[in-house]
Amino acid sequence: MKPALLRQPAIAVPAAILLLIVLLAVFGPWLAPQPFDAIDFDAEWGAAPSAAHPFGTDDLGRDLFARVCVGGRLSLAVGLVSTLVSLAIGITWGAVAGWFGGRVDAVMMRVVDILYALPFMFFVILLMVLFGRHELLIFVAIGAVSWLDMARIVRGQTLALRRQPFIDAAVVSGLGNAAILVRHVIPNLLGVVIVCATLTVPQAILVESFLSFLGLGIQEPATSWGALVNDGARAMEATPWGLIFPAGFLVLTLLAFNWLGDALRAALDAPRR
Amino acid sequence: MSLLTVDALRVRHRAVTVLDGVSFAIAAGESLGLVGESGSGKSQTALAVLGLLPATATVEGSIRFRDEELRGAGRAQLDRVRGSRIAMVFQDPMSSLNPYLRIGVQMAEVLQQHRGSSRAAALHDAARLLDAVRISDPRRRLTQYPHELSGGMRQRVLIAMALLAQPELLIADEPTTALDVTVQAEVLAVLDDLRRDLGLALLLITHDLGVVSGNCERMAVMYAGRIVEAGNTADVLTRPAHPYTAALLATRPVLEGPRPIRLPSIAGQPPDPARRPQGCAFSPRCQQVMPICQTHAPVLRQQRDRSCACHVGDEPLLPTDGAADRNFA
Ligand SMILES: Nc1ncnc2c1ncn2[C@@H]1O[C@H](COP(=O)(O)OP(=O)(O)O)[C@@H](O)[C@H]1O
Ligand SMILES: [Mg+2]
Repeated sequence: MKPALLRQPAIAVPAAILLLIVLLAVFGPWLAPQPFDAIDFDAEWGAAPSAAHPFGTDDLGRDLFARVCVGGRLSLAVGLVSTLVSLAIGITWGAVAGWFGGRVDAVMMRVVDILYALPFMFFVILLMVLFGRHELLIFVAIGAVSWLDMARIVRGQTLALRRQPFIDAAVVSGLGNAAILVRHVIPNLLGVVIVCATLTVPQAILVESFLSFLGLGIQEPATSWGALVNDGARAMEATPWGLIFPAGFLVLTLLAFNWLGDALRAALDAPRR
Repeated sequence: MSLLTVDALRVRHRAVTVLDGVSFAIAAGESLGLVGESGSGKSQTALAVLGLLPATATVEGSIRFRDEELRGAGRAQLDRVRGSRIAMVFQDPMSSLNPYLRIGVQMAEVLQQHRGSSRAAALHDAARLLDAVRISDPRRRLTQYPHELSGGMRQRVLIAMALLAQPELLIADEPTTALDVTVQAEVLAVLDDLRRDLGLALLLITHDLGVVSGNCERMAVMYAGRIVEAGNTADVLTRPAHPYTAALLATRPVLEGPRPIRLPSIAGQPPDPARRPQGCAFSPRCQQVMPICQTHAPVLRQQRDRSCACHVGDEPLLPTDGAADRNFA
């Protein structure tokens, strides 16, 4: 939020790592020797890393560097889109419940509790089996799970904010509910929301990877880190690089997001002066 | 006719009665000081008037603003009155401003809401009011964030903000308690000047007798959720009728000059609102306690310009010796 935050190494380091990963995912495919879905008939299938194929090739002779970059695009996009969905639903839901309180709050939070209690993975898998593996379904499914935490956190913060004198001051100055929520409540939730969002991204990436690992996620020739890990794991003994590179990026990304989230939380929790 | 009339106001939080029949009135342009020890129910009174008590509180009695009943009023009606006709300044200037919004934005918002003013017009008015509360360089202040201002300045910003929509009544709940003594005097002076200039009615809540004597025409003394004495400020301070008022004054150190002095403590504790004594709530601490005081709560009775709730006051008003010649600058 503030440039000062980026001067803290605990925040700057994971942020820099993530920036590099994003740049690689976006621009990497242009640097790759061949498109991610093209087969190099000259190279050995399942070739080890070399100058021609820095990450090696997979068992169809496709360039793994290109595939890891393209897979990264999808994994990161899933993380981003689901987080946006969770932000939109979670903030609205949580802020309204916390602000109005009473019965509204009770009903809204019971809905969240019920959704929490459902075995979501099971439903997603069932849906995938029933309707086929639709990319859109992955986004919707992950978005639908991930807003629950956001809603709970936002509600808790809104309840705490309601007791702040400046909120009373806004109420006595005659501002309506909508104006107070939009102008005074939500901007003051920004800190926790950013932290929560930072921690939602890796969760969503992980869920997508898990689905893809089960073979329920993205479809060939498109790919994601989860799908690449799945492919790599099958030929783990013969061509370990097929597993190591996508798994390495996946783990590094998840770690970096979690580090960043924790560091942001620590920084924003520190007394503001 | 009174601007605000509070009649037999009772407030309960579940089983705890925090206001037990509070009645007072404020005429247009008049200033009333509400004094009492911490916990006596001053803030609860202010919150009740503005409809700010939690929804779980039970509120009985009547709160009339001109000819509008505010008790039990809906949000829409309250939003029409709050800010534009009754405004409030809270005790803590540090947390009464949104830390994320510029001063100008927060001030303009009020006018945009009540007047439908354009942003530019609202900012112009905001700057004019900052000038009125003696804040230097108002144009620049509008672009600053709350943390860039000192406590005294923030409280003046809050006063300016409260007055933006030209309310008829301002409720100030301990507006200077959180400030340094020198800053207190400054803020009170600003408040007093503005009140006179704008013909504003003021309900000034404080636990500081010095503040009341300097700023209020009339005063009401609260004890344990009730008003025990009310009248003309100079009168009450020189000839207190209620033993509690007298005790407050008697234990007040006599110092020279207009320095505001905190209320001194009187022997004993104010009663816990959950366990109010039978009869008069002040009886356990009262020097002039009589048998009837422990069984029957006295009612607030008016005698000429003075009301007092005391059995001792059943006789003509007591001139309390010694208090008469003190100096309440
Ligand atoms: N929500 C509540 N539930 C129970 N008691 C309360 C509640 N709010 C305030 N009180 C009690 O009401 C009394 C009066 O409080 P208040 O009006 O804030 O006093 P003060 O005169 O210091 O402003 C206090 O004893 C306080 O503990
Ligand atoms: Mg108070």
